[in-house]
Amino acid sequence: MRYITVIVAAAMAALSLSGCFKPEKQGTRMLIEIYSQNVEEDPITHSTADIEGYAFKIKKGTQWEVSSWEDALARCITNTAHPAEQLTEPDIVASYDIESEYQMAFELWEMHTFLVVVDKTNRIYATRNYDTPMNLPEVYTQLHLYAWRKSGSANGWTVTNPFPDEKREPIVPTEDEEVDNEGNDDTSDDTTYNTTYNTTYNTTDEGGKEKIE
Amino acid sequence: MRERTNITSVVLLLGSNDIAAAEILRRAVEIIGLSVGKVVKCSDEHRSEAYGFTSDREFINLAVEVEVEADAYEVLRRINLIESLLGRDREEERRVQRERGEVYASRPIDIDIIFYGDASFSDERLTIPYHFLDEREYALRPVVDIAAERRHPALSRTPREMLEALTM
Repeated sequence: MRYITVIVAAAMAALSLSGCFKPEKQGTRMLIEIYSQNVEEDPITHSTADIEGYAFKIKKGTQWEVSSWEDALARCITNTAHPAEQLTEPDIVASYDIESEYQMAFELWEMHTFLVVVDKTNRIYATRNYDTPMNLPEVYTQLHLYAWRKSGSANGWTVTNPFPDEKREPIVPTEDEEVDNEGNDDTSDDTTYNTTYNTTYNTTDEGGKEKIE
Repeated sequence: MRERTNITSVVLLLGSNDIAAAEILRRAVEIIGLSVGKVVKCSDEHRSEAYGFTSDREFINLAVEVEVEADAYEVLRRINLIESLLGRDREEERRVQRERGEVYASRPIDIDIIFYGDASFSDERLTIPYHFLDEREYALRPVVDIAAERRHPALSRTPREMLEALTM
């Protein structure tokens, strides 16, 4: 117990005195799990849409927005206090891997950033003012891009749906379509898309990990 | 010489409604990494209103997954120590709770063990997994970020399923 107390006290003292334990600034990798629904009745599934993400370094305290769908596609953001001021060259472009559990990854090295995620397939986008937590490990988060929903905010993200009245097709075939597909070998066994809940989790390494001394 | 060690995946929930909550939580995560175990995942910061007491300030919660070698009681000892070092005064909290007749009080930092491997037990010191997990949205949201599919060993439900049931 005494040993642990010393360790924690030393760590705390180092952090308190220096303000930051690590001598060099380290960025954070933000991993985003993106979910989608085309219509409200759809199951909530990992998005398989054509999605891109980008981010701009911004000054602390400034507020930015994506003014239109065209701007979202053009990677253009606008200072809300000074609309004439626009940024068009993102400092960071996120990587996107549709097969990964966390499909999108931002490598964030700047303290204050404005993040944009654009779902090109369903024509919706999300934005976020983000103060990057330096010296933290990877940050995992979720983003729900529901095409049927009107614009709104949740979990730090502002999701904008520029075409809220657009008719959307369900991800899962309706019962009528399932009946229509009966007898069709290509689709009869593939009426649902269960990509979200198939991960398993091993809480311990059975047999233990080996430490070499 | 090779030594076999057991690494257990532990999920901790951190919360603060201090005026400097975000900074305190980030420091807590750093100290956890130095004194409890390797932090392998960190959730987003989730904001919510105070639960169980009145406060003008909202809470920020985040969850971390840590690989630890210590047993659950040792983890508890270490996180209690971190809470104290970051300014938590349980005596003062109890005094405020008595005065106001509330279950909880404002605190600079609160750290709870949500999961300790797939252990499930309860005694006078510790309840594993965290006993109110399925009832508390503020706890579930950050846990879902990093351990959505991890099955609760006693309830046989995942945090994602619990959150869906709570918010539907």
